Amino acid sequence: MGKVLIYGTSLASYRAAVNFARAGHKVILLNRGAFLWHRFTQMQWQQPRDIVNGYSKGVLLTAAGMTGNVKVYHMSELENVEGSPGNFKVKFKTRPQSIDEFRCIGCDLCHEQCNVKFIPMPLGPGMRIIQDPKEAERCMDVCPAKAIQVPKEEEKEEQVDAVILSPEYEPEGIEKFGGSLKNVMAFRDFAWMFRGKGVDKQFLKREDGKYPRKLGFFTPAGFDGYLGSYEEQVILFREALFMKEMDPELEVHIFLKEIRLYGHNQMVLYDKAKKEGVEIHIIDDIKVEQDGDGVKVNGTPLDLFVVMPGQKIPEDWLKLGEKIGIDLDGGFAKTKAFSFETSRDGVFAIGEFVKPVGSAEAIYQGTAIVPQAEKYLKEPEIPQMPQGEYKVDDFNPKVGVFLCRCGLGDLKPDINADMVIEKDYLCLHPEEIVKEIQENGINRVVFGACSPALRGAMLEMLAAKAGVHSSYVELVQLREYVSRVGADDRKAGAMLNAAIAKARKDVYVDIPTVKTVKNIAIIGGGLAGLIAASYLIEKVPLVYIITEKFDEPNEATGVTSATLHMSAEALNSWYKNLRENVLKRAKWIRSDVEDITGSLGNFKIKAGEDEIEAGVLIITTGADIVGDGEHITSRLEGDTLHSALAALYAKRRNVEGTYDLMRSYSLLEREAPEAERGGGEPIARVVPREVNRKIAEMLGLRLDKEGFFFFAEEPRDWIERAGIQFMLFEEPFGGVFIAGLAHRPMNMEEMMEEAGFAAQSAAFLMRDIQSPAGKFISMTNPRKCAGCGICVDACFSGARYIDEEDHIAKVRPALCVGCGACANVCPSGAAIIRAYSPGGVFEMLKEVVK
Amino acid sequence: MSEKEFEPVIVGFFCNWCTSAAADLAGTSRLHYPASIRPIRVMCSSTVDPVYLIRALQEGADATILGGCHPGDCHYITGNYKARRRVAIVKTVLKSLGFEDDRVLLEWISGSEGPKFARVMNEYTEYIKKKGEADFKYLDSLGGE
Amino acid sequence: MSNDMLKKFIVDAFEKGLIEAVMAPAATKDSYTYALITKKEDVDKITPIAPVMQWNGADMLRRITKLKKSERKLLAILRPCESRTYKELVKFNQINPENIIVLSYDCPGTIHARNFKYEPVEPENLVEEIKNGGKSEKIRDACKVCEYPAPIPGVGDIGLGLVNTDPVFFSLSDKGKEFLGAMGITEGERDADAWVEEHRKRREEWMEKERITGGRKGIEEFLSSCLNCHNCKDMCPICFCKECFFEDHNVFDYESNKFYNWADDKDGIRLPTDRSLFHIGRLIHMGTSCIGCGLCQQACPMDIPLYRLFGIVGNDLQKVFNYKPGVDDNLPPVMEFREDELHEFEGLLGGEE
Repeated sequence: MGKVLIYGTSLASYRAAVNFARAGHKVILLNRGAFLWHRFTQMQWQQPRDIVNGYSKGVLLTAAGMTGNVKVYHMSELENVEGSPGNFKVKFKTRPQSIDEFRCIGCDLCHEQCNVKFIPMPLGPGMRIIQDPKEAERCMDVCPAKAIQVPKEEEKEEQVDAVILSPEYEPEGIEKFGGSLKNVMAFRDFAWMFRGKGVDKQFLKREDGKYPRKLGFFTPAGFDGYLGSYEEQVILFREALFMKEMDPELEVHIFLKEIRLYGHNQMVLYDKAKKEGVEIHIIDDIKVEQDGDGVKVNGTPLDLFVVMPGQKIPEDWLKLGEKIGIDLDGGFAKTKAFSFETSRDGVFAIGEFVKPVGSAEAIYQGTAIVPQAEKYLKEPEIPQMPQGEYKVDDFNPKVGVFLCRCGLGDLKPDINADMVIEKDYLCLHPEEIVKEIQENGINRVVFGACSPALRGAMLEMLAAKAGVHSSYVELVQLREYVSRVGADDRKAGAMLNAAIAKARKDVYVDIPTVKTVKNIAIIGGGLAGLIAASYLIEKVPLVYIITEKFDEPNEATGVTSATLHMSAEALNSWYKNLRENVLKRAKWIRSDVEDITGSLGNFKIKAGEDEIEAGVLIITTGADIVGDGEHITSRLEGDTLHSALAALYAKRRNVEGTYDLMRSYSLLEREAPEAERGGGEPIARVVPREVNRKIAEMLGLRLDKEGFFFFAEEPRDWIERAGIQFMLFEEPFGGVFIAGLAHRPMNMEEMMEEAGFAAQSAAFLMRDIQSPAGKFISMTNPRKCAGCGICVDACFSGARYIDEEDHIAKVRPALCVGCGACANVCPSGAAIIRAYSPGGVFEMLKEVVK
Repeated sequence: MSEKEFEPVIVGFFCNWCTSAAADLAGTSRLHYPASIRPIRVMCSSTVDPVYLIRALQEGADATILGGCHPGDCHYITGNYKARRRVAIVKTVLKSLGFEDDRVLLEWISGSEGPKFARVMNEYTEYIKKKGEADFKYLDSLGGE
Repeated sequence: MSNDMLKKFIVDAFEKGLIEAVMAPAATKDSYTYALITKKEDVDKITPIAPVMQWNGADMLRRITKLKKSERKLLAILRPCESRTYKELVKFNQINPENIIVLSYDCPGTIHARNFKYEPVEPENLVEEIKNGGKSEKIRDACKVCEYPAPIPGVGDIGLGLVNTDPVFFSLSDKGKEFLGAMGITEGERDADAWVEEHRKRREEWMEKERITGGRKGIEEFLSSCLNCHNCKDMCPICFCKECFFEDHNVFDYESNKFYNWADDKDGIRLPTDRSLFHIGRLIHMGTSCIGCGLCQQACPMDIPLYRLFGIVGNDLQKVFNYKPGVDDNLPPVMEFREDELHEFEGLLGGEE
């Protein structure tokens, strides 16, 4: 089992911690804040309302709980790193939090008796802090979970195999853009107005309490010293659209020097903004002045002006570089070509520390780091799911209700069950619960406790230990839904009796395990395919590469860009090496793909003479690059959107004219370009391949209008998400991954990130996994199914299909995620989620309204 | 029923990933809302069969709420769009027959919107209180006026 | 005589090898059922334009082709409402349209099957009445207020015009065009717009007047004689489920205490339970695709004018989704969704506060 140290709590490091833990390695996460989330991630700074925020932490807590592989140290600072890869000695200072959030059960006893500061947070019991160490000492005995400790700074030393640095993002100030004026605010403060409360007119207020009728948004992309990704603009456009949707009367302006909406189908935001009447001003300079009650921006009167700043290079990054002994480039960590490895072997850097990134890239990096670091790590120990023996009896329910006093408070509900057992804290008496269930012959368990997000998994596990399958377990969150929100005995009784009624009707759900074919097929000869294969050949029995020929690296995809640090010759020899190495171990099928059938775990592919089987597909069909410039554009038609930054490059390369929507994010350029606006030809552009269309048809994937594949973050047309869905690792994507130029125009460094993401995720799917739906697995009652196919259309993950043989809908358990949409739409009740069977729900509804 | 102040019962079907999480947050933050709300946790707003909504009203609920993620944020990508179609069907049928269709409410509340959750619950309970007892529960019974 | 003419058409088609089977109504002692013939010699046994619609013809096609496509070239003679049902059921994967040619005609309407039994009418009588753009007073309510009494382009393949003209054929699809060409028939025209418009005007008036209002009281009174026999569901061509959700004993069988509790809470209950829920539930399940054939009403042994329920609520539902079942090419509302729609159903006051 390997061991890594991750420094910092950025979006990328949250994700990396999860991925290392799931891959079977120990993780030490050094958090510089007082608790998780204390130090903001980039997304928390930029869009505090985004769902990525909640889930970055939620996914970490889940993975930590499930694998036991993550240890978090708060208030810590890395002191030094000695030794060599595979054998680093790291020293760090840490000061534990007064209340250990991993132990805290949220009972709030300390609240009543001690001086505790409480910070509510989604997904979890919230954060509690006792500022005064003396108070903490006094309170230690109050806590039933023994979570209170006296915070004392400690020096720690640990031995780790690799070190991953990902210190957090910090935003620039907005002083340069009128920040000191009244009614000019940073975007974060603006977005915060609606946080938790919903985007609603009543919350939009200026400092003076007035409702602004004219709003302006601005981000200084392209201005002096600006560092940022495309995401700032995506968020701005989304917010402008939210405002328009909230109040169509509102006048909304966006001021930009250049438009950085790139790939990921983000241009729909621009189109939609235009359609909805958002005014977009393309400006060269910005002048913000006080204007009576409001401000004037380049002559446009506004009531409120909102500035989204770029990223700054914090002082402590420079210090960190010095302390660890790695080279920095203008404050960013310098990495080796095609790698996250810094100038020091075994020390890696990911996230905003490497370059300005969007949340999508941060999450890709947090996954792609695993195969790279693994060369220094010891063999992983893959966490095993416990297998239990269950008593299956659908017909003779004996319901036992376990009531947690912590959850119930002073309420005394009237309960109608075979057996009621009360404990002060259910989660602190696991053995007693198991014993009670076994001794009393209970075969249906209702836990009246706290939120399933906190102790649900643990309580279900206890029931499983006692031989009661999770499909016979009901959870009632008495604490968050009843006692804490001022409810009465009647509600508590109704909620419990409803769960009891449902428990009586519960039936056993046999959760299927999916056996996957242990091969991976890489389709297409894109560069990302070779990179992905290079990670996979060590881990997977057999890797197929299906292509007639391979793409050579093209200079246009960023060979000499600021971050790759590589000469053309070096690149060539690297590529040759890579290809040779991969083809030594992988099986190259020299023909184009002709037909693909099957689904996750069991794809069948026809290519030329060969018919092969694979569990997972990685699609890297590459693309053709037209022209020979350094930078790439994707969108050519429609409104001409001028990129001033592009003009800068044109000037340097002695090319006339300016250029249309260039790839201009994540560039480490800080000087303002001297540019003229105008039309022109792109220097180089990426043209997706025709074969994409055929593959998309065979696999039911979507292409954007240029012919690139949509993937993961992009299935929607309407409001484009700024970041990748939080589900990125949780869902198997139907076992199909897209990487490289098949996905969108990108440089080689990004190809490496996407290839690493695809490889790591694919390798994870090589384990035989339980259906991700768990007890919510969808089933079909063949006696009732009329084969109408409504459920097939309703299923977003492709888990349902009509069997041509018997004209009945069938389920692919590997793809079912248990959302229940099929059961909802099925008119005859043939598609069912047994955990939400109408019989059970009807019984429940009868009780719950009491 | 007549002597006491009318205490409505409102059945809420809340999706596991957003609205239930918001309810959790409201709970951990101790934001009080009326006891008339009876939350039921479902995996996704699209898990809720429209018949469940009708059934809840028939069993005696004075109103029902279906809570899901904001458009574009659904954990299952498109579940909330499907749920919206179902709610549109239920509301149209109710309205068409002369029932009060505002006794079925569809709300988007995300995981971090604990305060919004409490606000919506308060507002809706007030609204239903003003409207009075639902007639639907007496469907096919001898009771009611 | 239009029936004779159609029979000649069928014999011709048999002889030219364009078809190998025909599905059309055939007389029984008191009524008409559907019949399937495979030989031109049997053509005299059928009555292509029958005065009674005992079953929906599309429902018969569903039975023939649900498991496997039609192995022979089948000509189905369907009324316009049946051909719309046909199109809707194809979307629901219940009919495989391969090898099927649908012929539809200006429909004179049909007589309630029970009335016909006691007071039979010659098939041609009804056709005579529409020749000059009129209609018979004997036809069913649903027929009087039919929205699409004439064949619709894109629904079915061949149309037969009877209103304001001697019978003329015209094509409704490319397949139909080819078929008529192979038959050597020149396509004709007729002006039935005013005739259709009259139906639609009656429909508007009917919807205004016959709407069931008043919530619980209204629906309870309307259904007060309902036997809970579920015949309406059995005859509904859109209710294609093998087993109705509302007949699931796992869901709708209760312990005695549940009945007593209900009776406690609701000051007495009516038995059998869930009678109105069945109808409301059925509206939710199939209302968006209700074709308006009115067979539910014909099937009701208690003569409840059920078409007032399903026809009008169905129409309201279809308006919400801007969908005409059996006419539009897009999928039924229950099978798809859009990202940017139906905001009026969000929140308390339809999104606007």
